[in-house]
Amino acid sequence: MKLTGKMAGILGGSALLVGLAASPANATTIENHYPETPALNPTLPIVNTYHGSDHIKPNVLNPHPVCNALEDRRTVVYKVNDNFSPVGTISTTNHTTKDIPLTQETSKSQTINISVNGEQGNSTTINAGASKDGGTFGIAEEISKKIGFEASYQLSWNAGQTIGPYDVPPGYTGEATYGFRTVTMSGTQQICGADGRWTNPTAWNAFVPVKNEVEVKLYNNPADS
Amino acid sequence: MMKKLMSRAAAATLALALGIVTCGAGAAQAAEPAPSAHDLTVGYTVSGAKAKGYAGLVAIHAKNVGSERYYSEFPAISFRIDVKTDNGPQGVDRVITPGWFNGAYTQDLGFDEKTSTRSFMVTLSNPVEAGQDQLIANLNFGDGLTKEGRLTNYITVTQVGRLDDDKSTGNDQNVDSRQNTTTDFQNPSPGIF
Repeated sequence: MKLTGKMAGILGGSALLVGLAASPANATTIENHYPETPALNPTLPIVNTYHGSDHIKPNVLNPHPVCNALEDRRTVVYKVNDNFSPVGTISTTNHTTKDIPLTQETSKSQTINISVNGEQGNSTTINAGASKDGGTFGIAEEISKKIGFEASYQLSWNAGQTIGPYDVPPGYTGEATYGFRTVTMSGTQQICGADGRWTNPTAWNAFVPVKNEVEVKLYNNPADS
Repeated sequence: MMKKLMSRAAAATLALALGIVTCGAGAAQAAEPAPSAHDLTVGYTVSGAKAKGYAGLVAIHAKNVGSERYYSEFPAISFRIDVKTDNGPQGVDRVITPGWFNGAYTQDLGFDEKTSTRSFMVTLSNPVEAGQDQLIANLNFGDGLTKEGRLTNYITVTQVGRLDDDKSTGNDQNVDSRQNTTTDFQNPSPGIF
């Protein structure tokens, strides 16, 4: 899954496609093998995204509630994926007989934004400090911070970042792919019901840009590109 | 979710399964000499009209057989449900739609072809009061008639997330539906779905 996404981004130039087509002898199907039953991460936190009172109040329906009726909200994250989303690639092929110290400059302007689906409540504790477009940013940022990522509302690439120099041996291609490191979180959200118990959960997911990232690689076999 | 399941159940002429499910009995209760403070056990109920290998619902309950309420916010109390092949072609998947109740959430963990097991994970978010038999999840089985033959399944449930002082594992590890299933009217059921 991840590999195909990366390939799609990298194979923008038709030169590489031609290179692949020219070597049919060892053509293989790319298969991604992974267990269908994923490993769960039980250490992911439960984030009480909104907790109004500083103590839990009993109510008529429930003398022993676990949350404040019609007030508290919470989000549970079940899965976090760390992805690389490429924006552009520059590659340089060394057809000389000597090593070349290669310096590359990224050249594209691209912006990526945070996005959240299935949002139930617009409140988090952090909203007062960093409010951008209501609570969407707040919840996703708060949760990604709890998980351990520094989230960003908006990231952009501008022309002119320099990569290198790094040595490219003869016959090799040096390639710099630049893009964004992103985190996808999926989980559930719940609100506190009238009887002071959590209601049935609804699905929730968020796509959070974390930082700009450049991946550099050297290869001499088109299959490695 | 509830509404969706309801309509589906009605369509499958199994409307009884959901309505009466709440009065289901827990597992066959072993006569333990001294009940501990915190202890959960698992039971299954199914409609008497559900035939082996055909479509229908199975409800999964967690019963508090301890003397105190069972609750932990983090780490959460969770159960793993494994649906295994009882008879029919091995390694063949069956359409199973999970449902969730009382604040629990059921994740589908996918199908393992080698062991012919489809797994789910139920995570509770609400306490189970002492003596309460709480409906936590149900599984809506699709028709088991495949090209390779009719499939019948059974279920085992294992408690994964537990309180620290819950030491009794005899009644919540690999609880087999073939021994712990009743119909909604408390009659014994073979526990094969």
